[in-house]
Formats: sequence, structure tokens, C-alpha cells
Amino acid sequence: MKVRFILLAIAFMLVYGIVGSGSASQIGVMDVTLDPEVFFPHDTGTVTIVIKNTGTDPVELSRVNLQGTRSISIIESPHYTGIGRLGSGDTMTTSFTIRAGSDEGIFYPRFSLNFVPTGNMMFPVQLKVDKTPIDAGITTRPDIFMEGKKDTVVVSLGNPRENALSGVTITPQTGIADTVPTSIFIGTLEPGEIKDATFSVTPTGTGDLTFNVEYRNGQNRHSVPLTIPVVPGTAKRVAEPIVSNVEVSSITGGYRITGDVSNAGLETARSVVMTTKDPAEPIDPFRVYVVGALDADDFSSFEVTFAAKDAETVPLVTRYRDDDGNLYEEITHVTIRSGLMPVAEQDGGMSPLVIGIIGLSVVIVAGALLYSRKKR
Amino acid sequence: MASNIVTALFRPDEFFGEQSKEEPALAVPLGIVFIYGILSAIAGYQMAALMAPMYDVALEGYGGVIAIFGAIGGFIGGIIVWIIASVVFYLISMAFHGEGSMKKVLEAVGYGMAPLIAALGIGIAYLAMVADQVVAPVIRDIMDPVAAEEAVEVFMNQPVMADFTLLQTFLSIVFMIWAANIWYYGIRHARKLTARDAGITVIIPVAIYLIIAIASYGVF
Repeated sequence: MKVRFILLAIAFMLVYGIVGSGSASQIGVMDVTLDPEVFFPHDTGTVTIVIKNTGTDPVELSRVNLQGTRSISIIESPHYTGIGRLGSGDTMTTSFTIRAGSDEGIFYPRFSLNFVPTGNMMFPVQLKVDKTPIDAGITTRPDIFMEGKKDTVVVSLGNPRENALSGVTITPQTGIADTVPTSIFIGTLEPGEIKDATFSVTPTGTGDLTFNVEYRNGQNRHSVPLTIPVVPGTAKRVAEPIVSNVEVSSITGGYRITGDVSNAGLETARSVVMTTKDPAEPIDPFRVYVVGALDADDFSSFEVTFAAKDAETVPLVTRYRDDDGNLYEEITHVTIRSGLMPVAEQDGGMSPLVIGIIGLSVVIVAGALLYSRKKR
Repeated sequence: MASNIVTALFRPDEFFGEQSKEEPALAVPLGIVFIYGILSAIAGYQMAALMAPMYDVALEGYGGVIAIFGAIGGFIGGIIVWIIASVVFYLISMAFHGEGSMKKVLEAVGYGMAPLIAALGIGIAYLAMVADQVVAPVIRDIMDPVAAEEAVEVFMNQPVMADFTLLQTFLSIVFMIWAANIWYYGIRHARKLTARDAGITVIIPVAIYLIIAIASYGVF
């Protein structure tokens, strides 16, 4: 009796052992999805695994599990125990929340299935951890910022990673400049893709201008700050109108200033306008003289008319704009009072013509006198 | 007439010796004085026209009037010079018991003004040539004598006007000496004076004029 019982037990085990190993062979891992596809260190993400019963018999599952490694922690594992039967041709999706450690590399968390009554199946899931960040740089900026002058700053973004980065946004952060737009949404940056974002920056003071590049890798937010110092100075390439050949003359009820305005700078001065300001009062016919655009090394004549009382000098105003429409104003003080007229003083040298005339006259008169007194 | 003038210019002793034997004839001297007056008028107009912009603010468009007044003043001045010089010579020569008539003196002084025409002519030509270089400072307040004086000073001190003033002064001195030489012979024959008395008669007013001319240029 005892021997029969033992033999029955062995037969029972053999039958179910065969069944168990049969269950493993007909269950297949159909799909493994990682979100994100490649993790940054300390990123949190999900592993989604789809299994399917490819056999003809139902399989009863007792447990589904994902086992972490030294660098990969499983932080949320649903209680996939006592799941029940997986019918023939049926699929089941299992999902686990994981967190990458601080190390870079390729890791293999182990996915396992336990069957009823016995048997199991294991499947290593390949998971990459790469700390290469988004590649952000400033590709265009002025050599020198000028206070109140609008300049262009271009931020260039590249994705050197193997996976796409989403929700890429660039936000300027500064209290010393007006930036337009206040934020640029790039969206998704595919692997190897480059995108540019152009900002107009008008400095109002001195300090740092930071472009904060934010993006998501899966559900994890990352950011890269790009900082450039803003020190307003004198730009190298600007228009530089210079007033010369100034002549002041009087007209009925006032004065007229004529002269030339030349652009000694390297940029075109646009919408150049000549006029006068207090204490002078512009009068017709040339209250304002519109010169228009003045290219580099170009010049134009101008004429303004004004009235002025009790003033020795009047400010001659040159207004112009740069290509961005920023308005500039240059003032040249012109003397109008008689006693201070810029009339050149005698330099001590006599004109050769005057010397010649005087000499010739002396010779003629001396000759005439000598001739008249000659004894006859 | 032309030969008369040339003779008076270069051989005044001979010319006035001949003239003293004849009745005084003022036609040619009047012609000379008229030309001198016209040239004085032109010179006056020129200078007034150049200086008119200085007063334009205060006198609003009266530049033309100023220039015309300058011309009239110049012409009358030319005539007055002739008459005053003649009167002065006549009066001084009275001290030396001169005998000739005033008309004779006017004739002699008129001929003697011929060199002054050259001085004026050269001055006018020179100023016309450099007029475009002359800058007229503006006198904003005509009632402010300091401002007006400053403006005139600046006007006269600019290089082109300084050159003109120097030229004018030299020419007036040099040609006045020539004129004095003619007057010397003219007065001597017209008033029947000795060489010494004629010399004194002419040299006194001419010397005064020359001293004033040189002094006004700022030498003293």
C-alpha cells in the first residue's frame, strides 16, 4: 500500500511537471515598452510587457514579477499574484514603475512568470541609462549689447540622445532686459535633430541673461541654463552721423543753419532728421529737414530755420534710427551770437596777392614821383 | 583830356605851369571827382552789402536800403573830400599870401585826386574777388552796443577783411603820397607860392591824414 501511494505521487508529479513545462513553452513575451526609452540617472519611468498564450490550452499564472538590479529599482509593482488563467490566444499587459540609479550603462531587470502548479519563465528586459543632456548653445549674439538697442540672440538646441525629448521649452529669465518672445515652445526633439529659437533682446541694465531650456524625458523634467552676461557698451557697428560745414546766416525773423551731415559709422542711419530744439524754436520753411537714409560713408546737405532769443548757442539735433527702429539723437551745439561767431582769426600771414598789389603800387607811385621830379 | 590827366600825373610841374597861364577849367577835374565819387559809392555799397546781414535780424530786410545808403554816402563823401581838401589848401596857402582863385585850387585838387581813383579801383576789385569768403556775424540785439561793436570787430578781424583793410590802408597812403605830389605842384602854381610854402601847405593836411590813416589801422 505504501509503495503504491509513493508511485501514485511520482506519477502525479510527473504529469503536472510535464504540464508545467508545457505552460512555459506556450507563453511568449510579445512586446516590451520602456517609457522613456532611455533613462537619465534618477529618472522614473515604466516598463510595460505584453505576454501572450500562443498555445492551444489555457495556462494558469500564479505570479508575474519584475526584479530590479543594483542600479534599477522597482518602485511600484502591481500585485500580479493569483492572476488566473490566460486563455489560448489571449494577451496580458503588465506594467511596472522603475527608477534608474546614478550609474550609466545597460541594465537587465528580470521579468518572471510563475505558473500553476509549477514552472516559471524568465525574461531579461534591456534598459539603458544615459546621462547625456540636451545640447544647448547660443549661436548668435551681438558682440556688444547696447542699452535700449534691440539685438538678436539665437539659442540652438540639438538632441544627441538615442530617444526623443519632449516638451522642449526655452524661457529667458532676467531682470535687465526685455526679451521677445517671453518663451518659445520647441516641442519634441527627435534624436539627432537640431532646432533654433530666436529672441529679441533689448537690454535695460547690466547683469546676466539666462535662457532656461526645459524638457521632458518621459515624465521626468530636466533643464539646462544658458547664461550670457549683458554689459551694455558702445557697439562697434553703428551709424555715426557727423555734422560739418556748418554755416549760420540770418533770415527774416530768425536764423538759418546749413551744413552737411555725414555718416562716419559702419551701419546705415535710417530716417535721418535734422532740426533744432529749445532754446531755439524751429520756424518755416525748414522747421525739420528730412535727410532720409544715410549709408555708411555717405553724406547729405541740410538746412534748418529757427528763431532764438537770448541764446548764444542752439542745439542742432540729428535724429536717426537703426535697422531695428531704435531712435537715436545726437546734438551739435552751434554758436549764433555775433561776438562768438566762429570766424577764424587772422593767422598773421598776409595774402601773397595783397603783398603783390602793395609792392606793385609802391613801385608805380615811386616811379611816378621820381619821373615827375626829374629835371628837364 | 586823357593827355591832360597823364601829364598831370607824371609831369605835374610842367602841367600846372601851363595851366597857370590859362583860365581855370573845371570840366576835367569835375570828371575826375565824379569818377572818384562813383567809385566811392561802389566801395560804400560793397561794404554795406557785406555788412548788411549783420543787421538783418534787427532791421528785417533793410539790407538793400543799408547798401543804397552806403552808396550815396560814398558818392557824397567823394565830393566832400574834393571840396574840403581844396578849402583846406586854400586857407593854409592864405597864410603864405597865395594869390590864385579858389577855382584854380579846385582845379588843381581835382587833378590831384586822379591817383586816388586807382587806389579805390584796386580796392573794389580786390573786395569783389574775395566777397564770397566774407562771413557776416549776426547782431541779434541792435540796441546792445557791446554786441554790435563785437560783431563789427569780429567782421573786420576775419582774415579776408584784415587783408582788405591792410591793402586799403597801404593803397590810400601810397596813392595819397602821389596825390600830394600833384597837389604840391598844383597849389604852387595855382596860388603862386614858393616851393617851401607850397610844400608846407600840402604837407600839413596830408601828413595829418596819413597819421590818422596809419593810426586807425592800429599801428600807434
